[in-house]
Amino acid sequence: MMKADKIVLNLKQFMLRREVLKAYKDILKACYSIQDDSYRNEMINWTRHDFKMNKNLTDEAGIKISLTRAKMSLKELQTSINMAK
Amino acid sequence: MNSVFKSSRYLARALNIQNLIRSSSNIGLIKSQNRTFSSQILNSNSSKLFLTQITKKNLESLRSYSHVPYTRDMIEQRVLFVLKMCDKVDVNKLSLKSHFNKDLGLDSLDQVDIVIAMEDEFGFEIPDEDGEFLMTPADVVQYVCDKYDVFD
Repeated sequence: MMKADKIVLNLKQFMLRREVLKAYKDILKACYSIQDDSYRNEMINWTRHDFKMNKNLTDEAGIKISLTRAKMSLKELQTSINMAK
Repeated sequence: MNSVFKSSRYLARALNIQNLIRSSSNIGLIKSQNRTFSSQILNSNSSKLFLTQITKKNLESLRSYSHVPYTRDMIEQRVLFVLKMCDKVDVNKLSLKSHFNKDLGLDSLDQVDIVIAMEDEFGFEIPDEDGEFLMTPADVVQYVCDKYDVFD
């Protein structure tokens, strides 16, 4: 943890970090709007697990690929939530 | 149900008259009229118990469900309660001054989780730019206090 604090991000990395956090928040919020309890918890845990798994990615390309995947999943999730309503 | 509603209406009317009497208590005529009026109600209405149980004091306590002003202490309690509910937070290490990252060992993703939990609890949106700087429970308390205009 202390080591991670000392790493100074450049602007591009900083913006990317922000985008990842925003994607995480958006997906979690979408998950919270699911009506069914067990399904909601499953989705939240799945989101957390997936983001934690890719926590140690350092190369920009890898992060961007994961980020794109996250955005696609969010879109898919939102359409299915809207359909379920 | 109907009789309960009726009796409550009578009660309201009786209270109204009593208030009138109190403001002009030296007029004996009205006072005696009121006495007969209320006794009539008591005799005629079937739900005597209801009338006697609900005093004016009870009515006032029923009516006091309005906005409760927030205090800093209350917000602190709620923030700490929400943090205790998060399964990743170590309750033993938790205090108002403990740093999410350094003391509690949470990463930025957990921090986003906490921000969402706070949004849920207090019922307003916390933008990403602000959420990034909430590093201790005390920061969160200060932020919520600013939102609710609590200064003390």
